Amino acid sequence: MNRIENGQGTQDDIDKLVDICDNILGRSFCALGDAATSPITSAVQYFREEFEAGMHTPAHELFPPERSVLFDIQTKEPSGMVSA
Amino acid sequence: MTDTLTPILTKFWDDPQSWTLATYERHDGYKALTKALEMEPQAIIDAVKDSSIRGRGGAGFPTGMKWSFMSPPDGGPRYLVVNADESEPGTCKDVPLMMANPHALIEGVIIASYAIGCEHAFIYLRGEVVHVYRRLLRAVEEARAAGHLGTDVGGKGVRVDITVHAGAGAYICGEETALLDSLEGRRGQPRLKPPFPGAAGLYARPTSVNNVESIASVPGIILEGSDWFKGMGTEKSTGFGIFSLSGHVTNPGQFEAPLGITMRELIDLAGGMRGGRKLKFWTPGGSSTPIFTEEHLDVPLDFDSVAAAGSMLGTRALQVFDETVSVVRAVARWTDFYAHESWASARRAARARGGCARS
Repeated sequence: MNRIENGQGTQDDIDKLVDICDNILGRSFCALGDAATSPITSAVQYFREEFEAGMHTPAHELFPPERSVLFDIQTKEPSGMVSA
Repeated sequence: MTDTLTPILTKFWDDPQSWTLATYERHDGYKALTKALEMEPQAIIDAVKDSSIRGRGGAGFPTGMKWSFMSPPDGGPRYLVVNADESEPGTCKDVPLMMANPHALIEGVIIASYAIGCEHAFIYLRGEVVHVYRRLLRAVEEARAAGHLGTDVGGKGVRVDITVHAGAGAYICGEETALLDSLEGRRGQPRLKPPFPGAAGLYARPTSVNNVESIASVPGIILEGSDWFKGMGTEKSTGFGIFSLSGHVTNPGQFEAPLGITMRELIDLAGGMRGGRKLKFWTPGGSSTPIFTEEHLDVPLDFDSVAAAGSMLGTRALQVFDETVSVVRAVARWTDFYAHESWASARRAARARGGCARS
């Protein structure tokens, strides 16, 4: 998961993730084991291309976190002044 | 029916000092208890069963059935344990409910205890929410002073007392058998089932573990009748529920609505998507339920429809993510959470397999 997030994933990583989830689902002591797998399997199901993009591009480049905020991200000038 | 909100538990959350006994009594508080004490315990169980209310803790097991599955009384103690260890990421319904209207839960606990023959009920609260812990303790104190708790509830000779227990804040303790272990003073780990808690739960005695919202809905069912309750929601998922919307909507918060409302309606009620952006994905019941996308906006949010669409209604924790969010990053954070919270053997299992668990 971390490799894919950092853009260093391999094709095997996605398959391995799904395979691990498959192995946990329904075999854990309590329902919370299943719980840990569902976000992964469903995300791969609906957004597989984003996981595949994780083989070459880090998530923070594809989706820069600053785009999620509503205020303007302003870069700090060396003088301490803030540019508009 | 499904296009309006139904404020019942949330009705007077905006009242100044909504949490006091006086406010609760002004809103018909403890009237259901008076009515319930006139009824036979079995009649209460039947009324709850008849209302078809399904457990609000995530699994959706019918509450009345759970009560009737308990082993028959044998003279020994029987317990009611309220699961207030709300810890599913995104879920924010039990804590605000206990914060704003703790007496609804207390009254529900007393009625439920009377119905199942329990003389000592427990509320297992998540320990981090100290403010809620204080408020519950105060509410229990008020109820005891008013004669609703103790050895002679309502002058009917019924014995009920409540212990509010603050847990240490572990995700796993939201699982009912791990919760019982934790309540007994052990490390919270799930037990092998069977035996189910209904046969051997807390201190190996018949126990019913119910969610806060399920129990808090009981006074309404007793007072207004099960037909009133069935008048809301869908045929198989009756009644109302608190939907907690969070994330990229304009006005996140708790929306109490009949089950079967759609996400589209809820997002509208929440003032639409934040900043007019596009919805990318959302969770119907907290992070542990398979995610949904835009195509699922019109899925009725009741237990069966959500399941048919491939997810779970869970705890009605609707987390909304807009187009600026990376699915990979969101899922990675959730996975970190599960890796951190998973108990040792699950983690070992994951690690042995080459692991998505990091720690």
